[in-house]
Amino acid sequence: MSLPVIMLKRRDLRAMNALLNALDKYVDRVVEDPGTIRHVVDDVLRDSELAWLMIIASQEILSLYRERPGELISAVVSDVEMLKDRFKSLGIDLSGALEDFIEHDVLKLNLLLKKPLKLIQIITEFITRYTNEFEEYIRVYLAIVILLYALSKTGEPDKLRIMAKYIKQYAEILDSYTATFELMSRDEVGEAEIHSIHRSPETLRKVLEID
Amino acid sequence: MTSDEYRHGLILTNRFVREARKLDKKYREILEKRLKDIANNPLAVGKRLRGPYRDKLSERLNRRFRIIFSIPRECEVLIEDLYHRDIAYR
Repeated sequence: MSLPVIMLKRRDLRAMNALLNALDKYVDRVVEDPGTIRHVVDDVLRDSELAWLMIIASQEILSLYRERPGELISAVVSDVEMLKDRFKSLGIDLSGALEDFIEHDVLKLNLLLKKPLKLIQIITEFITRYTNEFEEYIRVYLAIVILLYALSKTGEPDKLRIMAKYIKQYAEILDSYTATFELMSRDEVGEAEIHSIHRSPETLRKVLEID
Repeated sequence: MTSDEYRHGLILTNRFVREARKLDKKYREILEKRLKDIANNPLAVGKRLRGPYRDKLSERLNRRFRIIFSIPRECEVLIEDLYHRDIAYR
């Protein structure tokens, strides 16, 4: 699943629009009470129609990305900048969390496009060997998607602040998965050969060529 | 232990040193401070990875870079890798 849903409502993305329409009822619950996000994610995971729409919408996004990668990335980056500015004006800094989310999505999109088998391998390994963590990942990812969508549907500063707080918490967890997926996607294993050992700043500064 | 000494020994890999030396001096100085934080309190600084890499931790350097490290033995931290987070935007 790879859904840069920050890029909302585009006429040419029919499956994405259908998905967003189907998500509406869940998102509205979060808009009403952001504290329900965990329960809403539970309900979303039980909705099989929504699961199919997510798969189809992911394919649609992938096709768009394959045809016009630059356009998709610029649209997402520009939407993120807009969101950042909107929150800055409310005194909320969501920059780091939004960057974490975009980094994660773009990593997955790039893998889908350039190394699809590698992504399947990563997801399969998580599903089969690290089931609990895979479930955590899906919940965290969905929570962020729903919260980001919910942000666009409310203007109440108090609710926006609560949603932003949740997004930051979830983005912190997502970042661990981004780093993990990144390492798992590499073809070569990092060189483990030891260069040097340091117990104080003097030798470290020399190795880093600072002094 | 003198006041300058790290609580954990920092073991650097070839890969890490190679990548670190590519940074501008300004970032290398920030990196040195970040490594000091990691050496003094690795579990508090790092974010634990998941799945097959759950023994590794990740820490950001100035939002642009990611440092990957692990704690192979008591009192030692292995600094394994450093990469630009924009790697995902290529």
